[in-house]
Amino acid sequence: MGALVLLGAVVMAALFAPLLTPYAAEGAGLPNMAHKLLPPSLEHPFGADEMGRDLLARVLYGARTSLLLAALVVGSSVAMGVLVGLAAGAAGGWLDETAMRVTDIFLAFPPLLLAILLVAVLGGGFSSAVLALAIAWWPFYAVLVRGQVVSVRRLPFIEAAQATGVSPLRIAWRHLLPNALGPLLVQATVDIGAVILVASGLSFIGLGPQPPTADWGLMIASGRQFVLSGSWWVAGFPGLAILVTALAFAVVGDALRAATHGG
Amino acid sequence: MRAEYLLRRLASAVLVIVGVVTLTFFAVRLTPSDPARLYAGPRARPEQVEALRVRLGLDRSLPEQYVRYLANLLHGDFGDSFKTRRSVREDLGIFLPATLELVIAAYALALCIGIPAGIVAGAQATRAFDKATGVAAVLGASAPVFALALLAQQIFFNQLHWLPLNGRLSADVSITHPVTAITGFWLLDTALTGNWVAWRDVAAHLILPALVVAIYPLAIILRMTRNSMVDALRQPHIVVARAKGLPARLILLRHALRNAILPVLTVAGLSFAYAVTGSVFVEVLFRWPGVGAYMADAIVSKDFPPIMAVTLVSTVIFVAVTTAVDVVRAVLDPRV
Repeated sequence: MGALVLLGAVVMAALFAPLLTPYAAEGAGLPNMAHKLLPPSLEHPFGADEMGRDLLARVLYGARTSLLLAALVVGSSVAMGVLVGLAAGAAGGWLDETAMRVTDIFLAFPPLLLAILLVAVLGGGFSSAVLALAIAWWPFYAVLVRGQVVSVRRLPFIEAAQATGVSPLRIAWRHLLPNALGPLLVQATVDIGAVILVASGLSFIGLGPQPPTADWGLMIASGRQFVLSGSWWVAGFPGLAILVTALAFAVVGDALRAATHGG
Repeated sequence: MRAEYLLRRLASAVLVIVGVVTLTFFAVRLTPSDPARLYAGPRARPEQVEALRVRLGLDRSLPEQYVRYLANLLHGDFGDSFKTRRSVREDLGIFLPATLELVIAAYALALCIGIPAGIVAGAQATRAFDKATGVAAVLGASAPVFALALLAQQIFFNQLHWLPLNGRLSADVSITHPVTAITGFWLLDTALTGNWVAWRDVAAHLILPALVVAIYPLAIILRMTRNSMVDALRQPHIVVARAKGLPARLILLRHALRNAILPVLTVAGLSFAYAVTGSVFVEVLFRWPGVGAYMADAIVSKDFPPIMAVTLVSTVIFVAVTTAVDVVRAVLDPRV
């Protein structure tokens, strides 16, 4: 329950960031050198960063970047995974065999590594990070959907539908896919947290969104040199934001899993 | 039947590795950047770049280059770095042991803390210790590893002055007591040569990064052991053992753990392969001279041969571990 509230708070922060802070311009990237590295105070609860920007505003704007990126990655990987998994599971035969061999190849890469390789090839930035992470992530969904489809393909209600002449496409879409939706939703929720973690790592090494975009990984990377000289807040609050967000999605995902499995 | 399964498993592993090599090659070759130009450097004249293109075989067709790349790989030749012009294989020989030393130390920590803590948590499920470790594990699995690294440096170096900030050896020790490389695992090398001054320094440098790398697998291993123990303790043979009045400790360690440990070791084995690449952030932050930091450097300068080599080596390790896990399971479990 607490996690659900946290998750709601993060989503709200992302949606309404400009309304939640009086420093919207700084949140979007406008420097204010007079406030350079101000410690946390009532006026600036999270302090100010190395360019004098209100850190709370930056963290709120960072929620937009993180959530948008993760939603795009998970959304497109789910779409791709459903397409491949459904086709493979429903058709069977050589199509299934080929699709699963290709999926195996993608699964052999640790996802972080494949994403790093692809971003290195595509060049850094928001859209190539999304593309790279989606390419690294879709095979998990393909395997998940195929497994679910195969487990119900031989059940009587599918055979009944086939016998009454329902088209294979309609069977796949109306009868096979709905059975995979529950596990798919659980996995997608957990994965949004995981994608946020991996993506923040990518931007930490400079392969994600570029300045002046507010991005948590980027904020930690540019703030890290000031941490050792005492300005812990510059990297501390973005780090906390990543932790809280990843945690909220993981816990809510687990709760969903427990609810759908009746345990 | 079983021999057939093993053969199929091995064949599919080989197929996957060939697929990975192919995918990596074409992903990198389809970039707009020109390797010959990168290799020649910014001040090279066009005819020098042309000469290099011919020497590197980049003037040939893509399929021809691919076949040559495969042939070179079979001889263990990953090509030269565009930037330093050093052989990537020799570089890997230096950097891979550093990464393995770090990751192995981290896994030793994760297993030595995670399994006992998981057993205790599982034995007293839903009590305070179980709840506390449960919360800690979820936190540990959700924390960004590079932020943990910064936090660890802030506490143990900046505040407490207990441990060094980064690197693998202090500058003064490297002059007074240089490490003689034998295996590339410095903790081992310094012990073998009886160089105890350097050994202490190497160990002090290893603790913080290993601790940070250990957090994620520790969280996973702890929860996995705990859940697995809870399941095992529900089995009928445990009820029988209890009814016979066997001591609780014996039941826990002899009867329950034996069934609970296999899935834990499977998960640990699989996540080990991920950790080899996952350590990249830790290596960058702690200036640890391993393959992760090596690859991060190569990415900045678009130096593709090292990037491809690290990708291949890591996936081969990953495929080898997953195949080994399947084979061990097939040998142990006649149902597979």
